Amino acid sequence: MQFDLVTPEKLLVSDSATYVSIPGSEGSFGVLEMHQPTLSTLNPGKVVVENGDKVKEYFVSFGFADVTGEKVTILTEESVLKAEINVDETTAELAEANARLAQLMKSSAPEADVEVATKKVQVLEAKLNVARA
Amino acid sequence: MPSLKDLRNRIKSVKSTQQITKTMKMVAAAKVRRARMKCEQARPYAEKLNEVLVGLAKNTSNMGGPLLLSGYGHVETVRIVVVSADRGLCGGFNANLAKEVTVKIKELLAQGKKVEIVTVGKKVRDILKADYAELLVDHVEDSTKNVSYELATEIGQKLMAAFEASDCQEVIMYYNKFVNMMVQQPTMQYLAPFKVEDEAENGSIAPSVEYEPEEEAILKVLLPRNVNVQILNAMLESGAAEQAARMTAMDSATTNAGQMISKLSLEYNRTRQAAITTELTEIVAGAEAV
Repeated sequence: MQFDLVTPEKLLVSDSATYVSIPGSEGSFGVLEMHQPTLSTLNPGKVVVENGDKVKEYFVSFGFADVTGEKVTILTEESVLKAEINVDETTAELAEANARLAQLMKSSAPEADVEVATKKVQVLEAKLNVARA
Repeated sequence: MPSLKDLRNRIKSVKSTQQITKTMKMVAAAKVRRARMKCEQARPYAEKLNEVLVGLAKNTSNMGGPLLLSGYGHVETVRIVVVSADRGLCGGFNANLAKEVTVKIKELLAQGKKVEIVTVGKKVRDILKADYAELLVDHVEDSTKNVSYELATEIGQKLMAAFEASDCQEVIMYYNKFVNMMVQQPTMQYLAPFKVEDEAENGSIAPSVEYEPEEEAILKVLLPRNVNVQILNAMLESGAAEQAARMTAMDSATTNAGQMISKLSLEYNRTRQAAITTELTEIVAGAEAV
C-alpha cells in the first residue's frame, strides 16, 4: 500500500509499505493492507514503516492519519527520521520548554498559553523517548 | 538647452540606475523560483487537510458541530487579515491589494459592521494607516523573510482566540495569489467560520470511515490547524507573487532606463556635433577675415 508522510512545509515521504504502526490518540495501532478506512488524530510518538524487511522509524508530532484500504496518509506538524534526532539539542529544548511552562503556571498566565507550552513539552518528551527507545 | 556636461552626468546616473534595476530583477528571478518551490511543497498538506475536513464537515453539518464550523449566526465584527510585502518596488503589488481591501472595508462599514484589521507585512499597513488607522488592531513584524509554519501558527492562534472569545464573529483574509509570472491576483478567503465548498458534492460518497476519536473531537483539532495552514499557504503564495511582481516591475524599469539612455545619448551626440560645427565655422570665418 501507499504511505505518505506530510508536514505543512513539504511532502516528506512517499513510499510503499507493507505495515505501518501509528501512535493514535486513542492508542497505537497497526495498519496492514485492506485496513478499514479510519481517521485518527495522533499523539506525538513513533511511526514505524515496514516495507518487506526494510524498517524505518519516524518521530511525529501532533497531527492526524487518514487510512484507507490502499493508502495511509499521515499529516503532522513536525517529523524527522528517528536516526536524525539530535538528542542533545532536544534535551536542551525540553529543559527550556519545561522552565517556560513552570513560569507560566506560576504567573497564572492565560489558559491558552499554558496549553501551548504543555503541548510543546509533550512533543519534546515524546521526541526524546523515540530517540532513546 | 542642457550643456554637454549636464547630459553626460544624466546619462551616467541613468546607467547606474539601470544597473541596479537589472540586478534586482535577477535577484527576484532567483527568489521567485525558490518561493514557488516552497509553495508546491506545502500544497499536499493543505489539499489533504481540506479533503478530510470537507468530508468531516458534511457528516457533522446537521449536528451543529464546533463553533469554528457553525459560526455565530450573526456577524457584528469582522476581522480582516491582510498579507502583503514588507518592501516596495514591486509595481502595483501592494497598492492593488490595498484597493481591494478598502472596497471591502467600505462595504462592511456601510452595513454597520465593525472592522478590525490585522496586517502581515508592512506595506499595506502603511497604505491603510492613512484612512483607517483606528481599525488596525494587530501587526506581524518581519513576516516575509522567514515564512514558517510556526509563524503561521502564532498568527492563527491569536485569531482563533479572538474568534472563540467572540471578539470577532468572522475572519477573512486577503492576499496576492500567484497566478503566473505576470499576474498576481488579490484574493479573499474565509478563515472562520470554515466554509465548505460545494464542488465536492459530486465526489464519491465516503465509505464508512471509522473516526478515532469521534467526528466532533477530530474537527475541533483539525479546524484550527486548517486556519494555520491556510495562513501559511497565503504567506507562501504572497511571497512568490511579490517576487514575480518585483521581477516584472524591474524588467520594465530596466527597459525604460535603456530607452532613456538612447534618447539622452542621441541628444548628447547632437549637441556635441553642433558645438564642433560652430567651432569650425568660426575658425573658417576667422581664416577668411585675415
